[in-house]
Amino acid sequence: MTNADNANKMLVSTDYPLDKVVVGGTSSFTVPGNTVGVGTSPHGLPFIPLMMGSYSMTPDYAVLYGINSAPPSSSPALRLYDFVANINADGTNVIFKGENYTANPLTFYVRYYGMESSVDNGDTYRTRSTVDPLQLSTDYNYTKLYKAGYVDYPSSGSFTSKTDTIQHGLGRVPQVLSWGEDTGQAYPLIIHDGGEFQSLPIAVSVDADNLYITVALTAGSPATRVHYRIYLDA
Amino acid sequence: MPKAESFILTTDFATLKNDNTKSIDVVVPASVVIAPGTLYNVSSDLVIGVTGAEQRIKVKSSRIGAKYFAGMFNVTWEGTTPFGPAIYTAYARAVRVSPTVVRCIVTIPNPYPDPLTTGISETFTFIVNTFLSPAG
Repeated sequence: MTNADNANKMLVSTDYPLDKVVVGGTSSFTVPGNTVGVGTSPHGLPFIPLMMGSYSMTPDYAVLYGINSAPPSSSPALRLYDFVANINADGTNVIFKGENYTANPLTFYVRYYGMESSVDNGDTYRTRSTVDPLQLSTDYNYTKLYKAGYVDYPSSGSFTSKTDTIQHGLGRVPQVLSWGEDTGQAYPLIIHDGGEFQSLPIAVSVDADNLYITVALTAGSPATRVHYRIYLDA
Repeated sequence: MPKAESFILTTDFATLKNDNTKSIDVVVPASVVIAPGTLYNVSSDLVIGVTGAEQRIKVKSSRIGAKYFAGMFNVTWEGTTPFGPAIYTAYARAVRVSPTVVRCIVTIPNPYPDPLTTGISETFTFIVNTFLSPAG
């Protein structure tokens, strides 16, 4: 069999770039009972990275929760969660936020990573902090970036309600990531509203042909940018 | 001499690697009656991902159509109490309950002092992607 006939051959193509993680690592912080705790870590980048990550309540990261996600509360009549963690960033720091609604201190163990947005073109020499350098190997199926961009929504004195459609035309529902950015801080968009009454300001959805960004910004909301990344991967 | 079959490229930047993808439905039946001040929960479990895998979810509602919302999902509809129409919110979430089990949950709180009856049946379809984290 020649290489040309071998279905297992690998093609290295630059048609679809891979995500480049420009900052990342692990961190932990303890939040006293019934407190919202905020911690920061300098990212050393000349732009605001788009952060993602996860967290655990044990140092071995055995049970891993997505950011803004948590197990159902032990007091469900009072709240949905007993604790939850978020990861944002501004121009200087990665910002960790832990919400603890229990009576006792809780330690959050966070794994975080951030990427450069489509609007930035800063100099960064390599992935900062403790993440592993990329080894492009045929053992892995890497997420392949298909389309990245952003939409700006200026500050307005009146209520802004609109939907922007970004065509991807893949013919199937792809993986999508999105972030909001306002007042100098970027935050992952993890929770979205739909149905007859949208209460959160930004909702991102996707079907087999398009990405939809629906905003419901109250009068006086700051100028808001929505970053999106559409992947070739389903 | 390098072996041809162990071809590897390296760069200075980490990236994300896919692990697995699965889908599951969670159904809220029509006209569920929820007692005052309580939650209605319905869930399905997915066995997915290696230990420590990151997850992304997308969720769609049968009452909305083909759009998958790019993360956890809240949807608000009109139900009824004995005293008339009342809105309620269904919260669609996915959370790990063990290293390799993701529980897809729909929660509907009744914030009213009276029984709440939900609207028509609604099927929430969750797509869960797991991938290998570049961090840690």
